[in-house]
Amino acid sequence: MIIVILLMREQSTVPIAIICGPSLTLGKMQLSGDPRRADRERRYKPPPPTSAPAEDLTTDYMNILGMVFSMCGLMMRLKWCAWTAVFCSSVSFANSRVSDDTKQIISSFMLSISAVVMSYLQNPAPMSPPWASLTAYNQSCHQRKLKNQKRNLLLVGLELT
Amino acid sequence: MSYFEQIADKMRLALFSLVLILCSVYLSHAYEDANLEDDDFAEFEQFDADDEEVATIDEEGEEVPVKPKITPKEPPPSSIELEDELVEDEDNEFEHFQDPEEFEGFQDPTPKTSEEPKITITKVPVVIHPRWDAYWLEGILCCLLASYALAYAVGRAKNTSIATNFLKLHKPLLEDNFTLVGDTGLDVVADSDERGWRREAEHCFTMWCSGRQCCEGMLLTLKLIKRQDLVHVLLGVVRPSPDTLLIRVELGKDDSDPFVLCIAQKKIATRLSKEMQDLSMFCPERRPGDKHGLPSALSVMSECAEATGSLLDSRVTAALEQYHKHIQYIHISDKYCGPKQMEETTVTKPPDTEKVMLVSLALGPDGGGDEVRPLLLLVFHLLDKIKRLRLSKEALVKCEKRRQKVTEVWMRGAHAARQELAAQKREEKRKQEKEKILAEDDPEKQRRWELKEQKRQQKRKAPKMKQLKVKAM
Repeated sequence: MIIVILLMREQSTVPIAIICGPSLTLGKMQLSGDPRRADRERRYKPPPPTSAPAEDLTTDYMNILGMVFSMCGLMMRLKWCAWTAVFCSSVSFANSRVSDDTKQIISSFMLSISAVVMSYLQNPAPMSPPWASLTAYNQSCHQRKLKNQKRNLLLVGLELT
Repeated sequence: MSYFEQIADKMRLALFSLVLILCSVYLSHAYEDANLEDDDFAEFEQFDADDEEVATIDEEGEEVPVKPKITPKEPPPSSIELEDELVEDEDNEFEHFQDPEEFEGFQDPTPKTSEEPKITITKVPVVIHPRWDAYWLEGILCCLLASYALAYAVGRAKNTSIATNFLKLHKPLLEDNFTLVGDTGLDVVADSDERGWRREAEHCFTMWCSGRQCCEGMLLTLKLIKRQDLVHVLLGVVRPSPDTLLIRVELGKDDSDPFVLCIAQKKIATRLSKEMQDLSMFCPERRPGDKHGLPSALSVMSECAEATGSLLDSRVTAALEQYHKHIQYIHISDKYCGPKQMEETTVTKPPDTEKVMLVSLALGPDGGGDEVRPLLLLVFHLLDKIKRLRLSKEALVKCEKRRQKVTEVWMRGAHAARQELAAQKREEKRKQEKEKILAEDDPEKQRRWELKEQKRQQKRKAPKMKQLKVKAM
C-alpha cells in the first residue's frame, strides 16, 4: 500500500518537472521563502462592472419572453403560448444569479402558471398539435375535391341523358 | 243639414260594417293558421315513435314519460319547449313535406285519432367521462417539465460537487500562497473551514484570495457548464464548451512596469483584439506563437518586445507548450478597462484603468483534475516574474510616450464631446428664449429679438478675417 502511494506521488510530480525544466522541481518554480504577506491582505470587493466579463443575459431574455407568452396565453387564449411561458420562466429560473431579484422570477412563474390554468378553465378541451390543423385542412380539401368530382360526373351524366 | 247628418250616419254604419268584415276575415285566417300548427304536431308524433325505438336500444333503457299529456289543441309555447328538448334529426326534418299523410288533415282541420298520443322523452346520456388519452400533448409537456426539473436538480448537484472537489484539491496550494482564502466580503467572521466558494449562480462560483506578495488579491471564478439547464446541456451536445476557470489577479502600483501583453488561442486572440480597449490601443499587431517559441495554436499580442522576451523564458514556454490546450488566454495589462463601450456617454471622462493579470483556463472533463495545479503554479510564477521584471529606460520611455499619446487622444475626444454638449445646451437655451419671446404679446420685443438673431446669424456665416494693421507710410 505504501509503495502504491509512493508511486502515485512520483507520478504526480512528473508534469511539474516538465514545466520547470529538466532540473527544476516545484520548490524552484516559486520564490524562495514564504510568499504570504498578511499586511497585503485586502477584503473582497466585487470587480467594477466595466471590467467584469460579459454578463449572462439569458435570464432577462427568458423573463421577458415568458411575460410576453403568458400575456398572449391569457389574452388570446392560446394554450401553447401559456405552456411556452412556463418553459421560459423555468429556463429563466435555472439561469438566474443569486443576486438577481427573486420576486421577478416568482412573479413570472406565477403569471405563466396562471395563464395555463386560465386557458384550461376557459376551454378544457385538450390542446391540438400544430400538425392536426394541417391534416384536417388536407382532409377537408380532399373531401371537397371528391364532392366536386361527383358533381361533375353527375352533370356529365345529365347532359348525356 | 238633417240630410247631411243622415248621410254621415250611413257612412259610419258602412265603415263599422267594413271593419267588422275585415276582423272576421282576419280571425278566420288566424283559425286556419292555428289548424296548420296543430297539424304540425303530427311530426312530433312520428318523433315519439322513433324515440320509443331508440329507447329500447339505449344502455340505460329508462324512459321518462312526460306528465302533462299534450293534446293537439294545446297552445304553441309548450311545443317550443318540446322542440328544445327533442333532438332534431337533419334527415327527418323535412320528411313530412314528402309524406302524403302529413297533409291529410289540411282540408279537414280536425283529424282525430282514437288514442291520445303519448309523448315520451328519452334521457340523453351526458358524456362526462374524462378522456385522459385526449390530453396526450399535455402529458408530454408535463413530462418535459418534470425532466427539466430533474435535470436541474442533478446538474446543480454535479456543479456543486465539482466546485467542492476543486476546493478540496487546490485549497492547500492556495493557503500556501495566500493568508486569506475564500473571503466573502461580509463582516461576519466565519471559520476557516466555512470559507470557500461563493455561489454566484448555479454554474458560477467565485473565491477571493488575498495576502500575497506581488499582488493585491486574486479572484478565482469557476464558470462551469450550465448543467442545471437542460436546454443548455442539449445545446452543448451540438457545440461543446468546456468548464472554465477565470483567474483575475489585481496587481499593486509597484508590482509591474507599464506594458500590455496577451497570449491567447488564435480564435480568442482575434476576438480579444477587437473587443478589449487596451489591446486595440496598445497592441495592434498580432503575431503567431512560433516566433516566440510557443505552439502555433497560440497568438501573441505584445506592446513591448523586451517585456515579452523576458516574461516568456524557457520555463514558461515549456509550460505553455505542455498545457497550451488548457490555456485560453493570459492577459497582462496596466491599463485594463474591460471591453469597448458601445455607448459614447463615457467619452467625456477617461475610463478607469486597473493593473491586472487575467488568465482563462479551460478545464478538463468534470471540472479538471491534475492539470490545474501546474497551471496555478504557472500563474504564481508569472506573478513573481512580473514583479521582478524591470524594463530598460528606452523601453520604459517608449511605453510612457504611448500612454501619453493615448491620454491625449482621450482628452481631445473628451474636449470635442464637451464642446458638442455645450453647443447643444446653447441651442436649447436659444430655443427656450425664442419660445418665451413668441409667447409674449409685445411685437416690439419680438422684432428686436429677430434683428438680434439675424445679426448673430450673419456674424456666424461671415468668413473669419484677421485684421491687419497697416502702418502709414
